[in-house]
Order: sequence, then C-alpha cells, then structure tokens
Amino acid sequence: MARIANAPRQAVSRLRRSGMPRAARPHVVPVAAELPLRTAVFAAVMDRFGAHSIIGLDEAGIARARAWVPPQRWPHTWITGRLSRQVAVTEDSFEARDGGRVGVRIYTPTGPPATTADGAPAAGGAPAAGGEPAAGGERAAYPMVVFFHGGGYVLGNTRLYDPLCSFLAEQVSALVVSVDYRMAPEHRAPRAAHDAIDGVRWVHAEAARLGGEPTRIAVCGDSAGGGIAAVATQVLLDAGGPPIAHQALLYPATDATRSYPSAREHARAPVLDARKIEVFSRHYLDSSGLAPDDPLVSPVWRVDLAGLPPALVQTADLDPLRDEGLGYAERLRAAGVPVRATNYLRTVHGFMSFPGATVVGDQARLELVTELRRHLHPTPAPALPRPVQAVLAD
Amino acid sequence: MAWLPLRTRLFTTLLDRGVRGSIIDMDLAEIQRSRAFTAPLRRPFTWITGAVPRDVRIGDAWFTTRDGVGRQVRTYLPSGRTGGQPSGAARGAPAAYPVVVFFHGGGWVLGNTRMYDPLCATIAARAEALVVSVDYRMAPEHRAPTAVHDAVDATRWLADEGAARLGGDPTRIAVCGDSAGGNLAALVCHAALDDGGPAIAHQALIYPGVDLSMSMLVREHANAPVLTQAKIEAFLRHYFGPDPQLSPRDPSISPYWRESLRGLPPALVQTADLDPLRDEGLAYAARLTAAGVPTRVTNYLGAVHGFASFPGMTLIGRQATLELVTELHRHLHPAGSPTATQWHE
Repeated sequence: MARIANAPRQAVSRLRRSGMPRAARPHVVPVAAELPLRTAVFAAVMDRFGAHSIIGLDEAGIARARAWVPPQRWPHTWITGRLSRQVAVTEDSFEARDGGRVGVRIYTPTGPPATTADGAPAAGGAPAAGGEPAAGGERAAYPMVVFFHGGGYVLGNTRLYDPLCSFLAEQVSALVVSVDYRMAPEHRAPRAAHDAIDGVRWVHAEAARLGGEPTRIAVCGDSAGGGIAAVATQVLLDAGGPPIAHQALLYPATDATRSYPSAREHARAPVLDARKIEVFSRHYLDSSGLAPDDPLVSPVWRVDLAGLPPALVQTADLDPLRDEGLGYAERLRAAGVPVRATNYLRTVHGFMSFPGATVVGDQARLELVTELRRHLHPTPAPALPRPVQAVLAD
Repeated sequence: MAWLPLRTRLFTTLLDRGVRGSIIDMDLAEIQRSRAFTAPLRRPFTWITGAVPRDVRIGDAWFTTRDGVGRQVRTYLPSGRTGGQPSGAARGAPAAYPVVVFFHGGGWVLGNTRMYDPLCATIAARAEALVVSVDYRMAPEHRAPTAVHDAVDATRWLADEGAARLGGDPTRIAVCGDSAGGNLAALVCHAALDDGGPAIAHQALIYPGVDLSMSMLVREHANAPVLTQAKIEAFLRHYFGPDPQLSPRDPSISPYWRESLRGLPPALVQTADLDPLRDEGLAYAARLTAAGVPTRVTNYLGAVHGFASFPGMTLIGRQATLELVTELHRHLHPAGSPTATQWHE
C-alpha cells in the first residue's frame, strides 16, 4: 500500500503554484433565488424532514438513517428515477485486508444492448459492445464499473443507489458493482478507502466469475464516494494495478481541509452545509491518525497526479464541495490527464440522487453514460467518412 | 414530439408562426428586410436573448476580401480588466486580448452581426477576449463559396494586422460560430491547416451544419421547431444557386467530407437534441476525436436549433454559455486558467 509521503507545507506551496486554492469571492450567492422551483422545494423538504441530517444523530440514529431507502413507487421514483427492469440485481461479499467482510451489490444487464439514453443516437446510444454474442457464440464479458455511494463516510447504503446504478448498468452496458464499504464512526479513516481499494482488487480477481472483463474497469462515486474513488485510483496507480480505465467523480469530496472558496461561499447551501460537513469529517477523521491533507482522505493534496486515468468530474454550482471538485479536475488536467469537467448550474449537492427534482438531472446522467461508454467500449477509429450510424458507433 | 420545456415550446411556436416569415417563401426584398431585423437590447427582449454586459466596448472595423471588396466586422472589446498575459512584446506594453473570430448563423442567407450582440459581448467579457464578428457576404446575392472565402480572409486579416490594430493578440486566435456560422468556423480551421497558418487555438462549433448533402439529417426532427428540413433545403437552394459550381459533398463547403481531420485545432461541439442537424454535429465531433483532435461534445437535451440566440427561452441556455466561455477561455489563456466558477454569472 503505497502512500505518497509529502510534507504538507511543500504540498501547499505546490498547490498554490498550480493555481489552487484561490481567494474566495467576496459575496455570498443567494442560493434559493438561483434554484429552479422544484429543486428549492425538494431541498427545503429534505432539510426540514429528511432522514439524512447528520447533526445530532447518535449511533442508533445513524444506524436508522443508514437503513432508510425510499420505496420503489411513485411519487418517489419521479424524484429518484426507477430501478431499471433490464438489470438483474444480486449480492455478494468479499474479505477485506483486515479480515472483515464487505458486501457488494451487483447490477448485471439482462436486456438487449441499450440503444439510447434519451432518444439521441449518439447520446450514449452507440450499439453496445459488451454483452453481445462474441465470435464463438458465447456472451462476451461486460466491462465493469465499481461504484461507491455517498453519505459523508457515515450514512447511505447501496440500495439507495439502485436507480442510478441500474441505469448505468443498462445504459453503459456494463456490470456495475456497488461496494458497501464500512463507514464511520465505527470505522475511521482510511477504512472506507481501504475497502474501496480491496473492492476493486476483488472485482478484478473475480471478473471471470462475475461475467466481467478484468481489463476494462472504471470507478465511479458521488460525494464521499467520489473522493474514495479518486483515492482508490491513486493508490492502485502506485501499486501497479489493477489498471483503471476511467474515473467518474460526481461532486466528489477531495479536500478535507476545505481550503477552496466554495466551502465558505456556499457554507449555508441546501442539502449539504458547512455544519454537516464538519460532523461528517469528525466522524471519519477523529482518532484516525490521518491529517486532513493526507492524500488518503484528500486526493487533491497528492502532489503528483501524472499517469492517472481519464476523468469525468461533475460538480453542482451551489455546493460547498464545488471548487474542490473543479480544483481536482484542474490539477489532473495540468498533470496531463484527459479530463472532462462540468459544473452544473442551478443545482445542489447530491443531485444525481434526485434527478427528477432538478432541471439538469437528465443532462448529467447523459454525460455520465456517454463518458463511461466512451472509455469502456473503445472501438477502432474510422478512417474515412462513413454512413452516420457507423460513425456514431465510434 | 420529444420533450421540450414549456417556455421553449411557446417561444418557438410564436417564432414559427411567422413574426418574421419563413425562408421558404421569401423573395429577395423580404430576405433583405429580414436581415435588417435585430431585437432591441432592452427588456423584455433581453430576457430572451440575454443582455449585453456593460463592460464591453462595441465598435467596428473594415477588412478587404480577396476580390477587393471591403467588408465590415463588429468588434467587442472587454474594458476595465487586462487581457491575461502580455503578448510577448515589450514588457510594460498594454496587454493584448486573445481573439475570437465569430461567424453568425442564418443559413448563409439571413442574420446579421448586431443580432448576436448579447452572445458576442458575453464571450468577450467572460472568455476575456476580443471578439470579432464577421459580416460575411450572403446568398442569394453571393453564392457558395463566397461566405467561406470571406470568413477565411477575415481571419487572415486579423492574424496579419487586424488583431494588433484592435487590441488583440494575433498569436492566440479561436474561431466560433453557430449553425451556418459553425460551418464557416470549421472551414476556416481547414483552410488555416492547409495554408500553414494562421494558428487557430480552438474551434467552438454551435449546432454546426457540416454536411450540405444532408445525409445525416435527423428524420424524426425534420419538422422540429425553428429549423425544418424544408427550410434547410430553401437555404441550400439560395446558397448553391440554380447552377451549382460545387458538389454538396465538396470539402471546401462541407467540413464533414474532408478526407483527414488530423491536425485540426481542439474543438467544442454543442448540439441541440431536437435539431435536424444534431447527428451531423455529433458525427463531425466523433470524426475529430477519432483523428486525435481533443474534442468536447455536448448534446443539449430539451433544446432546439438556435438555442444560443434565445438562451432565456430554454432551460440549458446558461449551462451552454458557461461551457462555451469556459472552453474558449481555457484554450485562449493557457497559462492562467482559473476555475470555471470565476466567470459563472
């Protein structure tokens, strides 16, 4: 387990030299006025009555909050999206490095190869490469996406992400393996990251049994899960494998020092505010022995990002974590990593879990599917103009 | 029809009901009247088109085409701030802005530079660049490929002397255009590559028309709002004229049909999901990517052709503008690219 040992002070100066962090903008954006009505209403309801406010929760409360999953029926599915019918869901588990067992939830496409994400042929709608019968008549292996859910290293569960993970399995035409990593406060840092790394290794080792292709693995995660995905990618690079083809980071937590301007600018944003971040961080970091700028908990603080796999970074504009996501994208790009970053306007932290309550949910899902497909289903480049369907398949 | 936000549906219905008539049955006088139209820069119009940022100075200049005709350009210069890095010249000299050469849309027949004041001025302010919008000659008075030649000549003039005279940096030039203007912007990149210059740092193509043979026309959106197959055919009839000198697949007017796209500048391609031109834009982006050109492509859902001209009547207008200025800024200010948030509104 290689970890970059770097003096924090040196890292600070290098970060500063590479342009990050920057001074805060002077004014605070009036968040409610920036939001579409549906998002403002949803966020207000969640903040008032939602099950996932961490503040003041004791261990029993945390356990109850973790067990909560919205019912798979309307009106809930209008907000969260629905579990795809073209996907089979199974459960499994693996043994982590400390001997503990970690569950996984596996989403296997069962339907015909996806054709469209939204009706547009090229919009993630290229004919699926994985899952189609191979030359020998056998079903070819699927590429794999290892997913890490959000929840501040404390809350959340894999079932909560059934809509998103099954959507990815179906639309990317990939095997999605959602890791039920162990959480704080019972398990302090870097246990969640270690479970994530062990999870990727297990997926790689068990690929044949799962029906996956071990050479085509992407990682994906949102919020704390995005941070974990970024950390796992870094550690696996140092360890020499397994190779990661793509990292899709959704409003990731990359900086536990919260040095970026949006941490202050949007300190009172809906869904995730500075007080909740503080409580989550304490649960994860207290008595862990890790400094907040340790790359194992703050991937943006790693000095050398060269050689990391291509990345998609999606951020929410009205999110305290916005600038640490964009900052990580900017640092990756400066290190020569192919990066696509999109800052979604008029939305808040966590929006991929409630796409129906936003106006950008479908657009963001389309982008995520398109990027994962592009990196997991590489096809030979066309040399000459060809009829459109053939070209779009590229 | 596919999903379209209510405000977009209402606005495009009004637009198509013929406030300004349709190209299909316009004669030359009507075309010329239509070209003269611009929406006033005051509310409620700016709710639809977007406003012109106050700290941008709008001016004009002239250049001479290869056939000796003087044509006008409309210039948008940010004021107040300095344009990034000094352009290599003497230290202490005033910093020069990078240049965005802009080509308006309108099927090579309609449109004018003033109509694009909100978009061009926004690019100037947020991408911190001198924007030069070219008043290229249009059909039916001037058939293909006059518009292409004017676009190429304007870009050459800027690189040679125009940029420096207007406060721009001739070593950092990007091209941008929407619809027919996207076609011209792509072709300027081809010409620059073939002629060995000027160096183009970035091409931003907004729902571009890249295949004049219409082989990739999206059939299910052939009767979409704003732009229909019948209108495209009418535009092309004007552009080609009764006695076409060029095949619709001639790469000098149809960028998609160029043999090799290798070596072209980094690209942004934005398409509208409910646009008959969607698939040719996406296909061109796919070919650019396959040719090793760093390409960012985004297909905007719930959007129709022309959305950059009426961002306020869409749900994705601000998002698309942010992407456009972010990409232009990143490629025109390579040394000091700030985070996207610095220009967010």
